[in-house]
Amino acid sequence: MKLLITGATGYIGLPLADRAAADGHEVICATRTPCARAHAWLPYDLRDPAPQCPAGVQAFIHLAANTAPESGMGADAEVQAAEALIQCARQASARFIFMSSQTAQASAPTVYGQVKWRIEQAVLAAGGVVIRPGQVYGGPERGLFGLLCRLVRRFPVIPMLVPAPCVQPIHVDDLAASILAVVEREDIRAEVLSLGAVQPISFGRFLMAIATHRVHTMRLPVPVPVALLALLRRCLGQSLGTKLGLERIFSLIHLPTLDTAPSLQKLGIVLRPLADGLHRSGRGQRRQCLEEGKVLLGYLLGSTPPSSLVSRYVKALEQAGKTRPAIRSPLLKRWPVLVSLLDNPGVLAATGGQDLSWRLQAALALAEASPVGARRFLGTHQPRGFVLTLMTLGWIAAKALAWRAVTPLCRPLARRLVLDAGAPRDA
Amino acid sequence: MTPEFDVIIVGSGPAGTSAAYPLVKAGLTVLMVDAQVDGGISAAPLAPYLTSRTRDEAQWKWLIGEDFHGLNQQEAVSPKLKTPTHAHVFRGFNESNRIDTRHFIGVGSLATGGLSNAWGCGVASLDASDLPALPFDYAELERSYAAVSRRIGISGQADDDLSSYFGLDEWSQPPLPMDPLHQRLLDRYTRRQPSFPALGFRLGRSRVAALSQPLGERKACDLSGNCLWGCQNQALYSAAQELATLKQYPGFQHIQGVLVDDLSRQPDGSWVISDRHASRRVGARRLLLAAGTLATTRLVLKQLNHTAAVRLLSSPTAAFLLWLPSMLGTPRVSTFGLGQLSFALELAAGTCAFGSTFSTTGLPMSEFVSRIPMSKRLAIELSNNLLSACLVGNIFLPGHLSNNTARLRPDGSLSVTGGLQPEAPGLMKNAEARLRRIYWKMGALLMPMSFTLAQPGADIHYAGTLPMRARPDVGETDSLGEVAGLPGVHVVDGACLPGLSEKSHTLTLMANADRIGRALATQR
Repeated sequence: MKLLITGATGYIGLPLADRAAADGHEVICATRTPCARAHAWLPYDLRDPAPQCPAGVQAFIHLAANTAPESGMGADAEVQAAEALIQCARQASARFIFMSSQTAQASAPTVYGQVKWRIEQAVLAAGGVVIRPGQVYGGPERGLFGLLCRLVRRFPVIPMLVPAPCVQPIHVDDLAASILAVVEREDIRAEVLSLGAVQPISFGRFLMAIATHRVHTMRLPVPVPVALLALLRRCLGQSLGTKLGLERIFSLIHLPTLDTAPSLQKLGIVLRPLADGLHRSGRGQRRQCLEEGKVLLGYLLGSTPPSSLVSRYVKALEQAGKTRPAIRSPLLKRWPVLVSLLDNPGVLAATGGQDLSWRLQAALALAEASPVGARRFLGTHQPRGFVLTLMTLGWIAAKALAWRAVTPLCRPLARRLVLDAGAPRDA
Repeated sequence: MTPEFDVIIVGSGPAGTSAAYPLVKAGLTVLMVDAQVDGGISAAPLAPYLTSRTRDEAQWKWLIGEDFHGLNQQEAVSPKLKTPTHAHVFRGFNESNRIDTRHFIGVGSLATGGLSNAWGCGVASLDASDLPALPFDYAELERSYAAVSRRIGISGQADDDLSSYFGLDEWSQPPLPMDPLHQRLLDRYTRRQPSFPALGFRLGRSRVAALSQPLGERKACDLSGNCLWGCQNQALYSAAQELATLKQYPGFQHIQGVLVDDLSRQPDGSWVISDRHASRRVGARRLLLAAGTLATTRLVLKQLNHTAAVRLLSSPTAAFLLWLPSMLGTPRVSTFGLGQLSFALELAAGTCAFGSTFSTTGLPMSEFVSRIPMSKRLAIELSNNLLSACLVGNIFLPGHLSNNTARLRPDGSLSVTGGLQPEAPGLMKNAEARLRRIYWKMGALLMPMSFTLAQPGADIHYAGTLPMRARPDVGETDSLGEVAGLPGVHVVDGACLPGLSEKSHTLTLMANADRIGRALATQR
């Protein structure tokens, strides 16, 4: 299909345009600055009159928005620009998809939210589709997500607002996939689709997740009463408050909860878990492989493996062309010793056990090839004496017998510790 | 056109370099070619093994390799085939030489120095009874044993029960110090010595091509324990060490990166070698093939267009683990990583087995862990507590018990099929049972389930495809390794040995190459 995307160089636009092209669509980027060479470029500015619509465009995706209030562009101008685009689409009998916001409300506390609401009305009246995304995150650190990442990186504490405002995160790639799903669905018309995590999470937890999975650091959560902020706003006054970003925080506090389940179901979109999405790869596969390495190496070494060793394990997997994890279970993460249930011929020699067997063998060689491994595998240089060593051997034999007795009983559990080769892992 | 060289030697391993010396010394012009294209990595540990293991954060680079070489060789039979420092020694041999194997482990080397870059350094001389129907005077070979032994430097001289079995003490350096486990074993053997001859068992120091005293540029072994990974002292012999010396002779030239694929006879009787793309062609009056038994066999069979199967000898081999319970809890010490004690065991009339025992310290423990029938976590704990009181052993049977064939296929590739003579498994079983009893007398337990018969070819003692005969037939060679039907082409590596005993055969094939070289030097 031929798609015209405004704001195609933006945070959402960029991955959307790339994905659309990858899916075989012809993409025209209507943007102020030239887009990537892979797509056609149509110079377009919200402040200018609607552009000449290229022939054959089948869908307009309107992402461009005025996010800088100081630009001098009024709310009315933005609404008019959208109406002009809708007019273009109508003339070309193309579909119109508008990227709105969770804040879109007639009585929104911000101008941004009000403008979005006004455009929504025009879009719906013209039979177009409105998308209200929750908290968009992931991918390159741009937009509001980029700002939050930078803040988490810079400040040692994370404010936990009390009472807690909630967000419904959606990965930018999942959002792009959803938009393209709408493009494909002729039957969806004059509708508002709400997209984001079905279960809202507190904004503080979202920031903590950024700290853990994106910035890879520890951050101290500090409770901040909303009443205190309200008092601050009153003292500073409206304009200064806006400058300091207080308004943005208040718009967050007043966010209406989105009922996203029906929309997601309609589009057949399953959102990736937040922890996966926050990872740089966007899929969390590397993260899961790292977790697997930590489990397997921890199992072999009997202690938490050094992180250099864990990343070496993942590098070895990648070298062998393995990008997906084979085991993942909160149980194994908690008790790596449970790998014992898998580390027996009953599992490894069975069909499908080869891969896990290779991974265990690789982890074994890598674990040994480290100073901590040398201690664990070779033993200390200090003599331990005959009696003590003999007692240790007896203890090992007892443990081996115990595991041998337990293993057949735990077969059903063992099955649940391994990921099926074909099962989806992003869910 | 007169050929550029008197002699071209194909291969720079132990055989090729041994044949080269007498020729260049006699003033002949000699070109040596090998197929090495990259020299491998030099990440070998600089500190003693145990020190690097406990301190070196980057040890994985030489234990596994930055390209994770070791992980991609999980199926390899020997830890040696997994070490990244030796990757270049084994890489690409079978593919480049078009060798396919079935039930057979085919190993060879394209590298300068050949397989001696990564060998077990076991040396022995064969006595006349080991080489029946030799088409030349045994004294000739004995002269060469002396010359080669002195040149490469061997150690292990001891007045022990294996002195006559090895027959090398005259030219040997003193033995290297043993670790406490081997010391204990030898003490027990000596104390109960009278009971062993009746069991057909003899124990003694291993004779190895490792220096206990400096020799030329090479330093003596300092027991740093890096034998498997790369010796910084060059105490272990490798034919690659010979090239610098050989190059001092004005008639000697060495070219790398030439994979000989074709030989062609010129009207004047000289020979021209060319590589796969015929991009390089050089001629000589004589060709000496020392490309390694498998590669040499293919070149000769292809030249003869001989498609009948030929017999390939190899020594059936097995490995086992010995536990010395009285040494339980003994600390790990830095020690020599190759054979420390060897044994000869008479199995039947005229059939003897030979083997050596090694310290476990310089080996990757994961090799043991994956063989212990326990979960790996417990196997690691077990290894940690048990293996410092254990030794690994190997055992070889004579080559006549193997039943391998090599056959030239119509497409020019060589197909090798491995097998054993029907009596071999029984003899191995017998050997296991008797070794168990014998070692128990020395206070060592041959661990149950540890005795593992390897696949044919795992010994990498290949020989006898083009045997020397007094009256050679097609596919055979004369007393100077000259191929019947190919005048001027001499086989000087293991391929021309007429027999393969249970002893390590490297020194013998070197001595034989030296003998042929000496004879050809006088025939110019």
